[in-house]
Amino acid sequence: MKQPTANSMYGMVAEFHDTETLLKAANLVREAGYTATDAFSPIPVHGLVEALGIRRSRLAGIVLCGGLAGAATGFALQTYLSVFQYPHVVSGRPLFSWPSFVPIIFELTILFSAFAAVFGMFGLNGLPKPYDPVFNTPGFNRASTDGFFLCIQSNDPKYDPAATRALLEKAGAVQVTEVAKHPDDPE
Amino acid sequence: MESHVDLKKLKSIALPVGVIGLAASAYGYTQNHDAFAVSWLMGWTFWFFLTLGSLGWLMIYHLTSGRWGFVLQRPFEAAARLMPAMLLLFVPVLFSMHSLYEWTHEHVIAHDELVQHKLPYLNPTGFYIRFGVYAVIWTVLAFALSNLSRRADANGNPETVRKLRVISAPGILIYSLAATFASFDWYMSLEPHWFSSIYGAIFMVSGGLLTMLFMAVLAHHLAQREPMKGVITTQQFHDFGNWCFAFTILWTYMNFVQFLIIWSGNLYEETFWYMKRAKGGWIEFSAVMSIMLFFVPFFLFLFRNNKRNSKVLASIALVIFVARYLEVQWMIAPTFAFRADVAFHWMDLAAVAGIGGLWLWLFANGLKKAPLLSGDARFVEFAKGDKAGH
Repeated sequence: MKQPTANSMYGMVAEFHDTETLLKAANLVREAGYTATDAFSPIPVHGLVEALGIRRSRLAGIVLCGGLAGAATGFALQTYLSVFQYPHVVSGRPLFSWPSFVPIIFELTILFSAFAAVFGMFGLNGLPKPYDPVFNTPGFNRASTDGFFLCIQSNDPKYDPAATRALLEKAGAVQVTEVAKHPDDPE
Repeated sequence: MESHVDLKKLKSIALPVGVIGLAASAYGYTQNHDAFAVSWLMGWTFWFFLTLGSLGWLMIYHLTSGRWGFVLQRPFEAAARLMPAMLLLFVPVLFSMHSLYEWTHEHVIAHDELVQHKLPYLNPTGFYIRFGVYAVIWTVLAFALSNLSRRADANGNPETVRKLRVISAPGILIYSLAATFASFDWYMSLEPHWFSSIYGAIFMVSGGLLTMLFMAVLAHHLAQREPMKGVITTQQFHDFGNWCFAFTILWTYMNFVQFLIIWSGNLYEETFWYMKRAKGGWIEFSAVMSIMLFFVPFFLFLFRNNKRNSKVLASIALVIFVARYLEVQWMIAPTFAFRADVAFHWMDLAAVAGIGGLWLWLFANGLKKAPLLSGDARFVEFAKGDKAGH
């Protein structure tokens, strides 16, 4: 029988009965120094993000850049068109009539921000992602009904199959499974 | 009590500033009535915004609830209860109508057909009567809401919360109608030819924004001491910051829409109002105002950390609060021939400092009269829990 190699394993997944134990376990795992962690829950768990030590998303910065790019595009587009490309006097106003540009600048700011938010979120989350190794966890479907899961990935510098399993069991997990990267790998 | 140390310091500064400012204004009145009238109206408007805005916020809070309003309920009530005092300070305007309002001049009426058609509305008797109506509406609302919430503290009856809501729902409609007509009477009619239908809304949003900036500064100081320590948390400062951010955008949006419509229409009957604000240094003034009242607060309130750190938020809010006096100048001063060029008159300072000193002194006194922490049953248990956790 082929022995599982360290890098064929995705990580250790623990299942918990309720949000309190999940939250406690997440705190314990963070305090033990693990960083490559993630949690799965059917409902939002208040304080879980902090317990896992997840840093604030960079999405806000991406959206700001998108918004500024939209404003710049709106301004440049209209200035180019009405001053250089097709100079046309409308009701005796100067070619560079910036007040009339503002609604379009505003709309493009919103549009570009929205695109930056949606596609930035996709990018940061690695979406679309039809397959994720964590799906190999037995009973993982319950993460969308009544199961609470905590995962420590094998690429974490502190990852050690025996010690990690012991920590999760001590934290009150009802089931701890070491999950393979691919379903056909021997367990 | 320890909680009032800050207020004592505020009072010890506010009272002498108020007395000196009012005395200087009174002297100005004897020297140059016209200049006094303009300066007084600007100074009064700035501080009246806080009383009127607080009443508006109070009703918005009763209708929507939310912890941001729970922690500010007593300051809102104390500011709203200054309504009679502020209306009394409006009396000098009633005595200066000839200096302020062209439509009271016989020779203007005689030669101006448009003004003649507006006389059924724009006449001193109507002006006085409407002033009385606004005064009754706002005063009754302010005292009904604040007395009821104080009584609720004593008897702890949750039914009172419902009553506050029942008053606030029609109250906010009546309040808004009164504020809209008041803004037409007191400010739009400074130019009897000019009209803008969004004017009343801009007036109310300015008041709401100025009030929230003031409250953010106040809350930072209140949060340092009992009983508000641990009750006004980071989340509430974030909310205050978000309100300021939203109202900054709303104010800019309404002002710009008014400008864009008039600019696009390009009709002299409307554009002359902006033309007066485009010469004599007022165009530069407008640019500074856009920067200080839109671009600077927009980019500062955009960032989460500036809102969640109460010290940073209070510093930003204080600067923008002071800068908002620019809008009052911009709204009123260019109307008058002797203020056609941007100039600072010493009576501007006397009026805004005099009325402000008095306002702050009365406000600090009023704040002591009821417990700072409202007894609203919906929030008081959470607040106790948070304090215990700290």
